[in-house]
This record gives sequence, structure tokens and C-alpha cells, in this order.
Amino acid sequence: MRRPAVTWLLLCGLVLSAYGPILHGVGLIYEDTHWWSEIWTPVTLAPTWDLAHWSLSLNAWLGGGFHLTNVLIHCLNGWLVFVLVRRLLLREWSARRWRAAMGLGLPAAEDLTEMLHDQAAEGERMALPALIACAAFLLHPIQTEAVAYLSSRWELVSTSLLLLACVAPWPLALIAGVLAMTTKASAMVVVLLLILVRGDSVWGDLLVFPALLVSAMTLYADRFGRLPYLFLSPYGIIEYAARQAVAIWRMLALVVVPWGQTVDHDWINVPGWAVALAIPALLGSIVEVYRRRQTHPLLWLSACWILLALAPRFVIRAPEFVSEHHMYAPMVGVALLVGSWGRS
Amino acid sequence: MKRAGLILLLAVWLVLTRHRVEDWTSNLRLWRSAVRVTPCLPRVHANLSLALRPIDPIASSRELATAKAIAEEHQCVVLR
Repeated sequence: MRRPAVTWLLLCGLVLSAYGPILHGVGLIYEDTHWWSEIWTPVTLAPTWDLAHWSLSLNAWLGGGFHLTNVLIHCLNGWLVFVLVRRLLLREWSARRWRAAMGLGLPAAEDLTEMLHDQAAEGERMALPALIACAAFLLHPIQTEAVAYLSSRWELVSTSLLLLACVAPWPLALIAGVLAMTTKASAMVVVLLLILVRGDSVWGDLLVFPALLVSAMTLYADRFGRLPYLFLSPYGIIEYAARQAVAIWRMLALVVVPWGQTVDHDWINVPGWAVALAIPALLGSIVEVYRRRQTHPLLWLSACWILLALAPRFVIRAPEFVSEHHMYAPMVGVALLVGSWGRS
Repeated sequence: MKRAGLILLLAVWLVLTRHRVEDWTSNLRLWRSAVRVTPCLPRVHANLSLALRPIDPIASSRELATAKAIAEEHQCVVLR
């Protein structure tokens, strides 16, 4: 797989053909129209540093292309997923190789040279599984809501910035991380996701984490004060968490069997036993995956990504439960899992 | 073999994605598909009623009546 960029372009062609029906003549569908009037006055948006809002304003200024922009951002995110997954697969392979080498005592200089050579060759070989992960991210049906629903521009742009923060050199990673948080409240997990995927990096990278943490605290102290609707759920803390866990199980089921998709899932008629079991089942699954972290490190990494990306849904008690477009960023973890299966 | 299976899986996902995208081409199609999946949710009937109103007022009224009936049965709110 010597030309990943060409394969990615082919995948983009497939994505454009799949999303073709929404690219022409489709107006606002099931939109929260709160932003529709605001995007025509971009000047007032300047202080918010909300890149999704800016991109919608740009569409308004250009006179259209709202859905096409969503699809193009989705394609761009597919490439970032490819870069991230290849890096993580290579990191896992290197860790395994080092563990094996250190088990035989300190490696000699020739062995180290050979290992570095092998690492370069392995980087080439990891391109195919990383492309499979990229394809999974781009083509999975659960992504349709995030891509086709214009109000999900925030999901798309904040995920672009999250992924950029994960793969870029540290000054750019810092900027991307802060912009992800100013674009969407749920991107506050960027600090934890960076520790997850860059935690073993050089110390220069680690300077990003405290800087992002301080930024997150400053931004959210301001944002939560301005958006009281974020805490308007009629449920108490425990029942809210239990129902949110039910929603997460439903979304994970849709990832495995993507049939029965709807814009409005029925969280009212959920049986009591499902609400009672959802959190214990979720915690049990986490413990089980944690126990296997040594033998299945990529499964552990994927599970951590999915859960961390969904964690804000438990913290912020919004009057809505997880819906399909909220799975956009967590799908990076699913793509990583699919990519790890694609290794020879 | 494993990779062939994955490629087949990706092809199935592509077809399903295309199928689902068709639902996002109009409010009417979107809410019709929602009613098929979650028929016991009053809100989807109410939103289908809104989508039907300009083209089929009678069907719109019927959907609204269904939404109200389900809402009364479950004592919940009809509209978002």
C-alpha cells in the first residue's frame, strides 16, 4: 500500500456518491434553526472562536454548499483518522517489539539499527489497516446523521480539531485543542484524549496538557454560565446517568448492526430493567476490557477513546440523550478497532 | 480472508449509508422513517404531521391525532 493518498481519494469518491442525494436542492432538514439567522452576520461571531459557526457563515457568504461542506469535512476527518490509526498501530507494534527485545536483555547496537529499519518497514505495512480504519470511519451508516444534519457541523468541526490535536506537532496541537473546545462544549475531553494517544510522547508534547487543561477550565467556567440549558434535564443525576447508559448501549448496538436508524430514538418507553442494568453492564464491560489491556492493548485504547468521547454526556445533563450524530467522535475508537482487525 | 471479510463489511456499510442518506433528503422522508422505527413516540408523529401539512392536510391531522393519543396514553409531551 504505497499510495494511501490515492486510496483515500477513492474513498472520498465513494463518500461523495453515497451522500449524493443531499448535495443538490436539499434545504434545511430537521434543523435547529437557532443558528440560521445568526450565520448571516459573521462579524458578531468573532469573539466566540467557534469555527463551526464561522464555516456556516462562510457557506452563507458563498451562497450555499452547506451539505457539500459537511461531506468534505467528513472526508478530511477520514484522512486524519488514517494518520492517527497508523501512528497508534505502529506505536503498539514498537512497544511489543521493545518488550520482546528487553526480555532478552539490553539489545546490542546492531539489533537497535535493525529494529529501527523494521519500524520503517512496519510503518509502510500499517498503511493498509489504517486505510481500513479510515474507510470504516467514512462509510459507517451511523455517520449519516452527523454528515447530513447541518446542525451537526459542530460535531464535524470539533472532531477535525480533536484529531488534528492528536496528530499535529505540539504548538499546532495546542491551538487545535483550544479551538476544538471553543467550537463545541463536549470537546472538553481533548485533554484526556491527548493523554491517551500522545501520553508516551516526548516531554515537549506533555506541555500541551496542562496548557489545555487551564484553557478548558477558563472556557467552561464562562460557557456553562452562558448556556443554562445544558443542565435542564428533568431527571436526577443517577437516573440521568442510567438512561444515558441505555442510550449508549443502543448506539453501540447500532454500530454493530446498523439497522433501525432514526432521528429520534425512543428513550421514553425503555423498560425499567434496562435502565437498572445499563450502568452495571457498562462498568462490567470496562473492567473486562481493562483486564485484557496487556493482551489486547488496541481494544483497550479503542474502548477508552469511545468512552472518553462520550463522557461529557454524563457530566452535562442536557435535556437530550445520546443520538446518532453524537457518535461521530466516538467512531474514531471504533475505526481504530476495525483497523486493528485489518492487520495481517 | 479476514481482510476480504472486512472489505465485504465496508461494502455493506456503503450500501446502508446510501440507503439512509435517502431519508435525509426531505423532512417528510425523515419523519416517515422515524415513525417506522419508533411508532410509540408521540414526537415523531407530531413532526410527521408538520411535514405533511403543506401536501396532505388530512394525513397531517391523522398523524397529529395519533401523536395526541399516544401522548395521553403515556402522559408525556407531544412536541419537542
